[in-house]
Amino acid sequence: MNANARRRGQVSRGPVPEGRKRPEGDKPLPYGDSDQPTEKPEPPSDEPEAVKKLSEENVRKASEALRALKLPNEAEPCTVFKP
Amino acid sequence: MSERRARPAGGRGAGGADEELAFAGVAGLAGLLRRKKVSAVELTELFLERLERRGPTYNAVAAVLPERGRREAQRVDERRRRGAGRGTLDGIPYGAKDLVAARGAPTTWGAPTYQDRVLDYDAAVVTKLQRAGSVLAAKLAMVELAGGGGYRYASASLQGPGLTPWNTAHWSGGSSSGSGAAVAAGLVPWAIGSETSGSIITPASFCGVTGVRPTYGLVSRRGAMALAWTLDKLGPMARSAEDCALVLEGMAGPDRGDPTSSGKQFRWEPVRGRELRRLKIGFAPADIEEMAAPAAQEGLAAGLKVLRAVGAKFVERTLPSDLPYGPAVSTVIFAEGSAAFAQLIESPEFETLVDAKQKAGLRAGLSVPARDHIDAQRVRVRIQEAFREIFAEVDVLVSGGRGAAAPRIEEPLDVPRGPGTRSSMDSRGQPERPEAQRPNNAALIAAGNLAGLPAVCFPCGFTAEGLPLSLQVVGPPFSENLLLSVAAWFQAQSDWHLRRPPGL
Repeated sequence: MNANARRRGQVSRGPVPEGRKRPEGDKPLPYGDSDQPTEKPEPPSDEPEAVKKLSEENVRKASEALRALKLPNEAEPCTVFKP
Repeated sequence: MSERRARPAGGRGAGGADEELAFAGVAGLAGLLRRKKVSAVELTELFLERLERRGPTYNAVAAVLPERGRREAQRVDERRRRGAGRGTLDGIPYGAKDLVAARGAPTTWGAPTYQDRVLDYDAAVVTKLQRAGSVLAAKLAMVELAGGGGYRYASASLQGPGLTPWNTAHWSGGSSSGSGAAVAAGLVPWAIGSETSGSIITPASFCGVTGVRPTYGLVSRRGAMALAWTLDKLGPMARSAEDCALVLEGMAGPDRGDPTSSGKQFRWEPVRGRELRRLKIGFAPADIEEMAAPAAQEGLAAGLKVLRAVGAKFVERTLPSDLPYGPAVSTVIFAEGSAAFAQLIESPEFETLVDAKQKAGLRAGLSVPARDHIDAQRVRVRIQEAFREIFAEVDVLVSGGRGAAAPRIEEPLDVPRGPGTRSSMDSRGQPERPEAQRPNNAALIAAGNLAGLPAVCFPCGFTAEGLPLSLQVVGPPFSENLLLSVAAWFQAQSDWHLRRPPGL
């Protein structure tokens, strides 16, 4: 997989030898890629507070993404949805 | 209560005439009924027995409905004996996702809170199907409240984690989990599913069946649980595109009781041969090469290769990259879902929901500002405009149904599993890897739902592990005929949709 990404140097070719810095853009693949060393992410916490915080963060992130559009004040179709 | 909830049952070997009937599909069974090779009662007994015996293996069934099923089937047979048959669906059993109301049957919405609820009315779609002679044999399992809060685990259901018949260590997808699994395992010839954002496409993909997300408003939702009023759709899941088309004819149509009904009918008039060759099909190579999980890439590419043989012109065409598809669909579902369930959220019973993240998400949704919901609706208008431009250039878009096969049931669904972001089972069908390098249509499920567009998802191969993969085609509003024709053509060239899970 990801021959294109590999060509662009955006995926890891293996562990970085000790004492050497990982090159910019040479990020490790997310957990799940079968042909590369992986860094398995920590499993998400199921603690109620952590889950609550995550859900609130999801709402906030969605809000930020929408607000980043800076939709102009202009005439447009009303918000009653029709396909 | 007159109907039976699903219970574990003993096994019986695979093979034999019954097994063949169970996988004969809607068109096949209609032919047998027409030729009087089998009766509606016999078919109903067959599927009731399979639902009882095999349903628990996949956590696919919320309730088996033997009394209602037998009563309806007897009526059909009596009527047919008088020469008053009613068409293709007459006498064919089916199952309904457990968010569709059926008189006298449990309707749990997949949530412990409603496990003892029995409604005294039929949803409009159930009434319509009954008039067509369909026999309601079961209510099928689902993710609790259709997953409106954004669940973390496949186990987020009163009936337990839905299991794909292809490998019961893996999820059947959500939220129409039981509808997908039941069709794949031949427990019913077809089923009603529902989609707010991905809930038909995902289980169809993970279970290796064909699913249709109709245009918003084509099928009445009266009597079905509301999750997000501006997004919810009911649609058929079956073993082939043709079966889905025949069923959609029976499901679609105007309903004065549903203010969002489009007033349109659906008639299956397949587009064939030369017309299909004239099509322009939009796609994005990055969907498979970059966005799909490694284990899925080969199978998806092989499926696309088969589709290319239709002779249509394939052109690269992608959704605009500057629209926030995921945030928009999340905001709409959070806001509308939390409003729909506000009384429940504020009651003590809310704590009985299974999934902690689902609960937290629904609570958080109560705080979505009106401004954000309105902005999300304004974004939808822009997405519709983008699709109009796309469909001025191409007739349909094609992409992977999901970018990966079914995850294992214990995996957290909100953690990316790999480069195939849609593999990580974000329950809303939104991409989780916005940093993709090339333009792509990874947000097609979210975008298509936001724009109210129809989609057909159909099997296109398997991973090395033997898990199903799928393609989806998406088109302009009310283009179901064209989308189903493309899928039917594909299925005439391939046999993935005919294959059966191990042991069945």
